[in-house]
Order: sequence, then C-alpha cells, then structure tokens
Amino acid sequence: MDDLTILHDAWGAPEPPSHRARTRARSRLASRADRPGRDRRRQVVAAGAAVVAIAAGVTVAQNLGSGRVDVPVAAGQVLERAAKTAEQQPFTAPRDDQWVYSQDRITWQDGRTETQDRWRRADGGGEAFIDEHGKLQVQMIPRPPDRAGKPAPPLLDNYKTLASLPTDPAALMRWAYAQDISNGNSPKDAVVYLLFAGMLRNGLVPPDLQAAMFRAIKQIPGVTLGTTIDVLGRPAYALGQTDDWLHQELLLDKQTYAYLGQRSTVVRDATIDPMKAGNATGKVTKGSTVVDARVTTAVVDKPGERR
Amino acid sequence: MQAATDTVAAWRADAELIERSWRDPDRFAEVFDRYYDDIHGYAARRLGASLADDVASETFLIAFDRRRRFDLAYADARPWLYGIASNLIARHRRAEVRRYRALAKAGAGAVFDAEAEQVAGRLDARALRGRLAAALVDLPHREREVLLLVAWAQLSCEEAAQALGIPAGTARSRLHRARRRTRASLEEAPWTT
Repeated sequence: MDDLTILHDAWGAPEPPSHRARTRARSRLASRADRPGRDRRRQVVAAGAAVVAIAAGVTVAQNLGSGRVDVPVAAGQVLERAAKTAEQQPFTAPRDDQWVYSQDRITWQDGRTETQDRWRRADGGGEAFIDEHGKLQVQMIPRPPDRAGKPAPPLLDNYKTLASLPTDPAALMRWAYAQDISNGNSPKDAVVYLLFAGMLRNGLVPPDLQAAMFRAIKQIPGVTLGTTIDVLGRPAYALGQTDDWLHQELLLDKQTYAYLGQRSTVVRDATIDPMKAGNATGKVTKGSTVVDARVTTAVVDKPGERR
Repeated sequence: MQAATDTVAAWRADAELIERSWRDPDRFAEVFDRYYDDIHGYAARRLGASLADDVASETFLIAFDRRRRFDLAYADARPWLYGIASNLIARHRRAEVRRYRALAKAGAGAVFDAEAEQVAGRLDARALRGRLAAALVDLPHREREVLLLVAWAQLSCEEAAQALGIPAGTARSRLHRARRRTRASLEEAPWTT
C-alpha cells in the first residue's frame, strides 16, 4: 500500500454534509443568482397579468392582455406543412470554423427586457457572448471527459452534432427518448419536446433534421397548437405543452415556419426548488411569463460578427 | 389528473436540467448538486464538519461569481472548485493544524492494534492515524495543500497544480517532498523495525 492510499484510507470517508447545511448553501446560492443585474435566464416568478388555461390536450383560446390571442389549430397539418417547407429550403452547411450567431430578446416576468448575443462555433469548439459590460467574451471549449464518470450534458448546441442526428422522424424519436438526461433517467414526453425546442433555439438545425423534428413533435403526446402574435409583432404558431406548473410554447413563423422564440407561462402557483425558480423562496406565481424572441441569426466567420 | 402530478413533476425536473445545460447560470444548480458533497467532504477532512459547512457554501458562491471564467458544461469543474476551496481553507490554517494535533493524540493509542494486523499480513491504514496526523502537523502548508489535494480530493498532480494556480513542476516537487516526509514518518512505525 503506498503512502497516498494510506493517507486516503486512514480516517475513512467524512460524514456526509447535513441536510440543513446543504439546503442553506443551496438557498444562499439561489439568492446570489437572484441578485438584480445578474444575467438571469429562464426564471419564472412573481407578477404578470397573462392567463393561460390549459385543459388536458386542448388549447383554450385566451386573451393574453397585449393583443395576443391563442386560437387552437389542427397541430398535425401545420407540423406537416412546416416539415415540407423546411425540406424545400435552400441551405448551405457552415464550415467547422464558422460561427452561428443569434440574437434573442428576453422579456422577463417583471417586464424588463434583455438582448442576448451568442456565437457558437459550428464544430462545437467554442462559444462567445457579450458580457454585462458590453464586451465580447470568447470561450474555446476543451472537452476532457468528466473524471467522476458522470454523463456530460447533451452537446446539442453546435451544428456538427446536430448534423449527425437521425433525420428519420421515428429514428429521431428513438434517439431523443434514449437520451440519458439526468441521473440515469430517460426523458419523458415533455422533456423530448423541450429538447427539440432547445435545439431550434440554440443551434443551426439542418433542414432535413428540422423536417424530422416537426414530424416527431406531431407524435409527442400532449403537444397542442395555437396561433398568436409574438412580442415583436410577428404572427406565429405556438406549439405548447403543459408540464405541472409550467406551460412551455415554441413559436414558429406563420409563413416560413422559422423559429421565432419560446414562451414560458406559470399555470398555477407553486413552490419549487429555489435554484429552478431563480429566487430565494422558490415561489412561482400563476400568470408569470418569460418570453424569448429570436431577433436574428446568421452564419459568420468570427465571433463578434453579426452578418 | 391528481394521479399524474408526481410523474409530471419528475418530467419537469428533467426538463429543467436540459435547460440548465444550455443556459450557463442555470447550469450552476447542476454543478452544485454534483460537487457539493465532494467539496464539503474535502473541507471536513481538513477542518471538521462545522467549518466545512461555511467553506463549502462559500466555495459555490465564489464559483458562481466567477462562472464566466469557466465553462461549466464541458470541462471538469473539480480542479477549479477545489482551488477555490483550498484558498478558503488556507484562511483557517491554525484550526487545521489544531485538528491534526487532536487527531495525532487520538490516533496514538491505535498503534498497538496495528501489530496484529501486520501479523495477519494486512496493513490497516487506520492504525497509522497518529503518525500521519503528526506528519501533517509538521508539513509546510504549501506542501500539505498539494499532498491533500492528491490524497484526499483525488486530483492528479497536474489538476492540483491547476487548482492552486502553480506550475505543474512546482506541484510535482512539493508533492514529492511531502510524500518523502510522510513516508519517513510511517517508517518510524514500531512494527517495521
């Protein structure tokens, strides 16, 4: 036995942290994340006048206050048209060393808006963003395996990975449901839907994959379709799914079926994990919404370039 | 409807995790859940449970504030987190040494049991506690830091260098010196003569 092993084994493993210490540490972290001026993301809390009522499998038409009206539409037909449109789009794949730029406008539940500029290298080798001081930050991403042997989060935000996914709807569904999302759990319907929505948000999705994705979404139970006007005034289809306290919508352009953004609405008051709520108390209030709107996207040669 | 609530809540948890992996501030909850126990355990070995509560909590607050300097989704976060924890632990140097002194006293009585273990052909690391703790008291802080990152946090020597922000060669030579001293103290054990 060498000295390092002896030293490691001498006192055995320490007592695990107490539940109280862990909870306290976690809520301190949540409060820190909630500090004003922080770069907050999909945090759904407090006030907000929008009301969305969802019954199992049916989108109910509701006036959302700012002239937005949800009208139920036959989801299958629209998704099939979306798939066909995607297939007919001219498309040039980016080079590995090019960057996919996107600008999104986030409207928080308190009405505050924030513009996010992101660049993702096509081969997944880097990410760039504008920090809180307006400065471009570029991070080249090394990829050592997780030493603890735990699965890394899915790397679905780069073109190269997306381009490698199955483009047959059934195979894509099998792939999605086979993903090990967290702690060995395979994703459920709501997660698969979010997985697709996230791929559209974060990546440049090749048209054949886009078509497969739309046809796959058709088969996800509980996904509904409505029409609406998004925060930038664009007519949109809203693909929605309700999961416990949260209704998530994916917005697609009514003409081109391009990704327009996402909308998250709290459908009932709930107390959840503070880290997930993004505030110290973990309370989320019915009617709160957070909206993501895609302003523009482009393939560029360098991070910082916008077209 | 009510029957489905638990299942739906479980879906939600998974969905949140995906969101987090895509959006960096939220990735932080995952980082916390993944590494809190490890960091706490390491601090507890060096400082005891109650100071470990503070050190572990503070480690993640500092890490959160500095998250822009580190891509949490892709690289191994351990050296980075252990580095922050090491700096916090270093503020409690006296408490750390007091702890090893106490362990040295507590471990002194165990040496006799070890002789039986030795006869049985099996060296029980626990029996060496007293001498190890005494060796830790005597080690210079900078050497001890590297040694314990390797022995207790199970970092490689390169990762320990990365954690402490020192050149790899420096970490190697500190580790070498620390191990030589530790071995020397183990060799003084009575049954080896």
